[in-house]
Amino acid sequence: MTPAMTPEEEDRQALAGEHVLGLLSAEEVAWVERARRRDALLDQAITDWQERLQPLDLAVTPLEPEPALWERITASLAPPAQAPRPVRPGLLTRLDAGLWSSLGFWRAAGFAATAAAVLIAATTWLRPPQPTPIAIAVLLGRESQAPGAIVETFAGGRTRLVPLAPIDVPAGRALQLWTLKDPAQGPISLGLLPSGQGPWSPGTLDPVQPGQLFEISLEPGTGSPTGRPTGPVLLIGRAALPPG
Amino acid sequence: MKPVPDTSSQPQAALRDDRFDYEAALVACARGDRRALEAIYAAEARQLVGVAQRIVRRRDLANDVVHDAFVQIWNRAATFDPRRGSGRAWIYAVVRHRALNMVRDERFETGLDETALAETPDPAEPVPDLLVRMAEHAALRRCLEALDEQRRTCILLAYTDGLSHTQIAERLRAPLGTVKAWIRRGLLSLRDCLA
Repeated sequence: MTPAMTPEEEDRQALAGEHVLGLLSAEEVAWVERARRRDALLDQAITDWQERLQPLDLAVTPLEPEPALWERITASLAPPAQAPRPVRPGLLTRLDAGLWSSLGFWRAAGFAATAAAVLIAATTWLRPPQPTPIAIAVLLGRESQAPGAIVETFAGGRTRLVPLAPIDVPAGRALQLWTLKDPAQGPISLGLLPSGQGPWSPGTLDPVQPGQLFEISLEPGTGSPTGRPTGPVLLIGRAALPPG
Repeated sequence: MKPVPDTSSQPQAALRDDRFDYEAALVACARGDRRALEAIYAAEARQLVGVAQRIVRRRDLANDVVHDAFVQIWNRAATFDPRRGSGRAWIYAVVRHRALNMVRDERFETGLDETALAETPDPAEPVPDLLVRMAEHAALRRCLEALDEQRRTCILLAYTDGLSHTQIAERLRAPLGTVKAWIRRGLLSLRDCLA
C-alpha cells in the first residue's frame, strides 16, 4: 500500500491528470501551463502523468503520414544559423544603463538633485507613452469595502493588476484572479498572483464589457483544483469603461 | 525518481526496451542537428499521425498537427529536461497538446449544442481493443483493467479520442457530474496502482 495522499496532493494529481487527459478548457490549460512554471510539484505531476499514460499512444493504430510531410516540416524550420540566440538588450535598456552611470558621476560632482531631475525628464521622455486603460475595475475588500486592487485593461487586451494594499496570504495558499463575463460560461481563471505585492500582468483578455466582474479568491497553493473559485472571495469589483 | 540518462555518451541507455535514444536526439535537436529531428520523424511519424488522427478525426488535420508539432519540437528541444521525464513522452505530449488545441475550441462550443454532439463521430475503434494491444504485463494495462469499467472507459475516451467531459457524458448517457467524479476517482486509483 502506498501512503494515503493528502487532499492537496489529490487535487494536484487530479488536476494534472485531467490536463494530460485533455479535459481542461483552453483557459484552464493556459492557466495550468503558466502555473507549472512557478510550481515544481504541479510541473512534476504533469510530467509524471504524461509518462504514465504514454504507453496508450503506442497502442493506437499507426497511420502513414502524407508523402510530402517531412519536406513540409523542413520548409517550416528556422535555418540552423538562426537557432535560439541570447536576447540582446534593447535600446531602451542600454540608454537607461547609461543614465544610471551618469547619475553616479553627477552625484559625485555634487549635482545630485539636478541629475535626478534630468534623469526623470530623460526617462519620462524615453519611456513609450503610457497607454490609457480602456477598462478599469476597482476591487473592494469583501469585508472592509476598502479598495484593494485595480484591474486595468488596455487596447489589444493587455491586462494589469495593481494591488493597492498588502493582502495577507497564509502559508501554502495563493491568490487567484478570476473574471466573469458570461454567467452561463462561469468564471474564468486569469492566473495566480505572484507572491510579491507589485503590479502584475496576467496576460491578454478579450474585450472587457461594462460591469464585467473581477474577483480575487484565496485558493490552495497550486490554485483552484476545480477551475472555479473554491476559497473565500477577498476582493471583488466590476469593470467600468471610461468615456472617450 | 527516474534515473538521469547520460546524454553525453553513446545513444542507447541500459534498461530501455526501445533502441532509439529519444533524449540524445532531443539534445542534438537543441544543438541544431537536423538529422536528429529526422531520426525522430523516421522512428515516430506513423505512430504520431495515428495518435493525432484519433483526436482530430481528419487525416489532413492529423498531418497538420504532426507538422506543427515537429516545428515545435525543433524550436523547443532546448527546454526538454531529461531529469524530469522521458524524451519519448515529451515528444508525444507536444503532439497531443497540438491536436487537443485544434479540437478544443470546436469541442467546447459543440459541448453546448445537442445536435452537434449527436453528430460526433464514433471513434475509429472501440476503446477496449486498445488495452488488448498493450503488452499483457504492462503496468498501465494491468492498472486500467483493475479500474471499474466506467472509470476506465472515461479515461480512455478522454485520452485517446480527445473527448470532453460533456462528450463522454453524452456517449455513456451518464450525468456530467458523475462522469467528472468517475474520472477523478479513476485517476487517483490509477496513480495509486502505478505508484
